[in-house]
Amino acid sequence: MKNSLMVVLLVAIGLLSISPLALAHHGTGISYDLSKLVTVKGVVVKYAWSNPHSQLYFDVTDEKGSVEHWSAEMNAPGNIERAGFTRRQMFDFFKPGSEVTVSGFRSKYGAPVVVFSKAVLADGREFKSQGGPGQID
Amino acid sequence: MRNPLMRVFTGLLVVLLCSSFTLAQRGQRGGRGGNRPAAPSVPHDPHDLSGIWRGNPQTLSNQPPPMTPWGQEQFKAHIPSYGPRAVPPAQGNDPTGKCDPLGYPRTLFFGRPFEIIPISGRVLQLFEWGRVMREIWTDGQQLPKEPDPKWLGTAVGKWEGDIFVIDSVGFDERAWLDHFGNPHSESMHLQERYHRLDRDTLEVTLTIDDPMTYTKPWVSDKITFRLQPNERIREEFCVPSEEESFNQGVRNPAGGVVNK
Repeated sequence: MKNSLMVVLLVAIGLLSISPLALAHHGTGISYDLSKLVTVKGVVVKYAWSNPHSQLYFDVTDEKGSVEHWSAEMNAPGNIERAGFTRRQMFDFFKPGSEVTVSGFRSKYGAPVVVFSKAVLADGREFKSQGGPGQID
Repeated sequence: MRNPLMRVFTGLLVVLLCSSFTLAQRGQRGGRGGNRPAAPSVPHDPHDLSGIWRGNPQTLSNQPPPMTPWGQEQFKAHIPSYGPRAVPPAQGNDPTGKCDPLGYPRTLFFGRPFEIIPISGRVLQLFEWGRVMREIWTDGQQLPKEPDPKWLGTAVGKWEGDIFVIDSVGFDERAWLDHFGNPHSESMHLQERYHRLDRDTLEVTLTIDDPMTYTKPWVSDKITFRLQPNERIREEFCVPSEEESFNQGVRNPAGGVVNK
């Protein structure tokens, strides 16, 4: 009896362990290393409110003064609107020239591209991913 | 010895159940999974399907029936970015990566809300993704015998008891059946059975009969959509020029593809 219960528990644990992974396996996530969150500090170059993916472009300068051009894959405008943000608010937040600290999951291929998780401006204001593989909380 | 072990397994099970719940909540917030619970159920008219509905079925069921040689050839040619054969989108050939129409029934599987709007002689399905409108003719007309293929096919509907039955034919085979690259031919016959179980729950079963692609009919799981009482259909287009810009700036480099 106890053995049967043990088998049921083990099967249940197995299924529950697999299902979230299966759910996480969709188109966007496959390009990025979702096991490691990276955070970089840069300056906003451009925010693109575009369908079906909005995007953030920002420049990161290293200690030697070399500039690397980064980009971030963000949510579809429809999802951002559904979460309560307007296009105007997004452009106001990501003003070109603003200092920004961006967290996300980087390309598995080493490109300076992340799927977006969070941005923090110099004044402390934050914007977080509204779902998808970049969402962290 | 067994009892402590059992306690450990039971504890693990509880933790996993909680984590699954957290992920499910995350999916809801994310919009893609978006199956938010509606208000408590109240009496409803089972013949009234109107309202905004949402679910995230992705496909008919986990296991398609065996494919014919032609079906296998199409399946191999489709390189998806979802499921066990997933590659980075930049390395695949999912039609949606260029904003080509999803076609039907993939549109139903996409995870965005849709509205059912019954009008005289037709039932309309307005899908948020691309603001696609599908017409289901309820004026008694028959399905065409030799239909020209269309992205959404041609559909007629009728009530069988409390179930609204939609039969469709004439599908453009360039569209994938689902996110996973399962194919269909132009001769696919699709039947959908919509059953409003209560005010907030719409249960749909699909059957695909496509002997050119599958060796037997593919009957779906029971797919559930939930009423979204405070929702509206938003504007969500896939814009080819914007998608191309995204491909160049983000998707290609992220997926290890160098822009030309």
